[in-house]
Amino acid sequence: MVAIAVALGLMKDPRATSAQSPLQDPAQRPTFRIAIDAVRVEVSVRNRDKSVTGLQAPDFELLDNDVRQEIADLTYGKMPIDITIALDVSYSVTGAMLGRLRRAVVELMRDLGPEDRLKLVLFNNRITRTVDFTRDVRAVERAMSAAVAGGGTVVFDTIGVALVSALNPEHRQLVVCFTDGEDTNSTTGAEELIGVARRTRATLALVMPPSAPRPRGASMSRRDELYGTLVAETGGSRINIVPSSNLTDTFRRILEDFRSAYVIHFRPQGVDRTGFHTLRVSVRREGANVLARRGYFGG
Amino acid sequence: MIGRRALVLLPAAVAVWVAVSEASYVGQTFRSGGLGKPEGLPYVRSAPQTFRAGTDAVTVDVAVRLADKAVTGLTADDFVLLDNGVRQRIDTVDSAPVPLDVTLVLDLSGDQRGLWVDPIDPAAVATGVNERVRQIAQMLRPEDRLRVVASETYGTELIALQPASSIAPLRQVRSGGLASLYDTVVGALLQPVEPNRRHVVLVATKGKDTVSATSAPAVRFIASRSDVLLHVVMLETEADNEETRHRVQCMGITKDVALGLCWPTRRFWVPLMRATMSTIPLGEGGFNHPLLPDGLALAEAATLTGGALHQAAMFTEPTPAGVFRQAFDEFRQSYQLRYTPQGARREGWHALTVTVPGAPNATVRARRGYAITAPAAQPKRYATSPAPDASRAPATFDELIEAYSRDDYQAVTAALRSWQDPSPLIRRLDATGNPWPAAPRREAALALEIAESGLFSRRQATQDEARNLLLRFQRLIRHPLEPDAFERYWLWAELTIVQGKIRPGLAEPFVRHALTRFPEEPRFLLARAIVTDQMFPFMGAVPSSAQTLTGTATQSHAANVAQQYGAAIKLPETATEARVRLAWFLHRVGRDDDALAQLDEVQDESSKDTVMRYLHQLFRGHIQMGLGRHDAAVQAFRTALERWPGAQSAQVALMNALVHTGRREEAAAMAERIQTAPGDGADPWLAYWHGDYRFYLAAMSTVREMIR
Repeated sequence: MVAIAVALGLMKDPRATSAQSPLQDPAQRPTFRIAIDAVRVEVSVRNRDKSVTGLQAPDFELLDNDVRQEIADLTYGKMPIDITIALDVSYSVTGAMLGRLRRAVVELMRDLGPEDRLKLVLFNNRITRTVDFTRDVRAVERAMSAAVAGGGTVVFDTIGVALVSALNPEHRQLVVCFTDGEDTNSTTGAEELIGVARRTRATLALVMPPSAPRPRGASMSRRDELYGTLVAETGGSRINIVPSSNLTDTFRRILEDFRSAYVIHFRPQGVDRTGFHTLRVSVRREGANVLARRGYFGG
Repeated sequence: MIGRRALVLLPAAVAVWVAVSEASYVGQTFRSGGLGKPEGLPYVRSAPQTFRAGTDAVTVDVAVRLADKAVTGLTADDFVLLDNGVRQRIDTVDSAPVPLDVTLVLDLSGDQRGLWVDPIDPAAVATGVNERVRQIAQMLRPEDRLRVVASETYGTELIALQPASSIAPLRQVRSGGLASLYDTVVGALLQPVEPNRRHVVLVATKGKDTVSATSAPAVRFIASRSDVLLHVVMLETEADNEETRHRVQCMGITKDVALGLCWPTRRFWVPLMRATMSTIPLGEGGFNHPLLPDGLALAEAATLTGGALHQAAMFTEPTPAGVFRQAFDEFRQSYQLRYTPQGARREGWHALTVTVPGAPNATVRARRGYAITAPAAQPKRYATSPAPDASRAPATFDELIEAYSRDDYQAVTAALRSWQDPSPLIRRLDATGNPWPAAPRREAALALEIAESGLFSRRQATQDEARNLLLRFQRLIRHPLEPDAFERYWLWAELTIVQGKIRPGLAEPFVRHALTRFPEEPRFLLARAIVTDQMFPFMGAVPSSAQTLTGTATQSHAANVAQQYGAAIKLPETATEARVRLAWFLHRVGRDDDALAQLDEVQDESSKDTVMRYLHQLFRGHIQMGLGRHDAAVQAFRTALERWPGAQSAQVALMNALVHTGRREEAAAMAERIQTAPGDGADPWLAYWHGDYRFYLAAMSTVREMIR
């Protein structure tokens, strides 16, 4: 099963910049004790589809460019979440599926925490943010009801835009992209998109139909290879759905898995600041499955 | 999945790249003259076919035959006439002879001489033609008219349509060329027919064809949709004599004595020769002539029109004059029904059905319909002051025809865009026949419009029907003699459509056909490269290393694409676009250095093709990204946005490049701009893979102009 994990970025300590979300209750705001240049890594730990909770910093081992790092801070379930829902409303996603999507997104709104927010992006040949980050269920409901399917699809472009615009460092960033995966008109190439994924810090969850069966010995299609690389780079996952899938449950599970991730902060030691840093995170627990993004760009 | 309809972009200035149009009907362009063309005889241009009397009365010619005999003495009560399915009250029935337009097609191909060494004598050939013309002419009445066409290398109009009394004898007639039987017959069948006249085509042939672009089945198809009466007379004795001379002169009297005096055209064209009948020796001097498949098709073509193919009987051989005498006097006994339409829309296409219930075994021949053009059908008037009906998108086939009749293309386009499934339209067009019998090009243009709608339908069956429609009409629009401007533009419009589908397997045969007709046409050469390019598997715009070519077959394909783009690069009309497209292809296969070199050759600062100017910079940016030159990429994407402000593709590309250069705040601002851009702005990138589909409207506009 899917284990949603990790977002990462080279970030400033939000408290140090005194940035406050107007929606945030100061009393509930998480407290960070990280200096500038700290790196944040979001790590999901699961054991047989269940989140492993109660872990402490000593339970983790984190390697930055193969150099072990000291974990400066570890929190669990405290940071608010920004969810970007990117929905494919091309010709390939129409009819009953569109109706179920509407219901699933509206239901997801009801599961948001008190400081969580949701943004809605619809895309076919164009990428349109219909609702900016909000907690207004009715606004999302209205936007979903007005969604009309049609046109080609720019999946890659949309993923890039969603990743780039998921900026707010005070919130963990989750991008959920619902698509049939068939990209017809993107201008973004695979290498470019992977480059963007490595340079941003949102976690990507792809909700899409399963890949076509492959003959024995046949390699993965380039499309599936790309999607697999994208979710791995961002510490996210791909959730395969079929027409009978319960989209409401699917979206709810994605949010819960993401919410249950640990947030680790560390200050890189013993490595060059610039360039791409590979990350490896492990947990000293038997049977634990760890998901974290593969790396980050420093400098 | 691909959207049903891609964005159609028409740049501010669409390149006009083919010769000035020739606004002529297909059938009006027989090569005129010949050595014996009468001087000073104006070509008789037929009036538009409306079938309208001074009032709203309609007249319909009806021939009723029973066992090849004309049925006479019928009255109005004997006929049942349905106009668009509504039974009409027949006001009058006139059985007076109908004025005829007769086109006499004479086969002057091949060996018109005695021995090969005898010189051709144009005067002698003219004498023979004059005699045949005289025999026909003496049977014509003053109101009848006669046209004479020679069938040899080209269909040549020897005598323009005119009353028989005004025909001057021909002094010289060129002959001895190749045989273009089918092309010439088609040319005759497509001649416009004036209201209240009957067109009869009488073909005398030796039954061979060596150079026609048209096939015998095509003749049959066109005949089935025409209102012409076709009779074909097989000149078997002439064919036999020619065959005998050929054997003696060319092959030799015996196998040891080969004279080698082949009739040159026969010698060179034998591999391509098609024959309507075979020649089987029966004994001393006699031959049997069973019809071959082409002959059977030609016979069926004649039968479909109410005519026949005439061959020699036991002791007699038909002659054109004899056929005319025996058959046409009966045929001439047509009834002219006159009625005032009731219960049917006045304007538009009227489907006609005429029966004689009292004679169920009789063959009733009448035209299948007629069109009434609205008086306010001037296109420009509609553009500024549409008639009430014109403001509404046609909802039925008949309304569609009506709108097309009055050149209301806006309404037609709107209707086709809104049609759930144009399949019924395609079938109806097939079943009804040409709504404008005198204007085959108008039907061909409509076929394009419907096919475009059908090809972009989501139903595979409809797509197949649309494809077949195009295949059929690309044969029909071929000029009988040689490719002409209408065919060129029609094929261009066709290619824009099939390229728009991004189905190279679908488009490739159409491109190949277009190039056989116009081998030097720059847009067709470019289309070939585009379609071959489309065959390369791609994933969106992904130029990933995984797509780097490997293996001989793929390298071969890449070389093929490059070679085909290279052919288009050599031509000034397509050089810029071909280079830009070649560069993008090279980028996609991982050859960024070569791609950049191609773009460096592009001089497009003064180009009016704003789409290509934009794509040039967009692609340059992506290629620079591929080379790891992110700052250069940023510059190229910014230039692209200067050339086409608001294009999402360049905005996204610029955002990606900014992320790669570490300018995250700028990238985020660009992401914000992308998501909040108003409206549905055009983006040239969306048209890229659709090839020339961006020119579809321009191509159709030209085709529409040519049918007016």
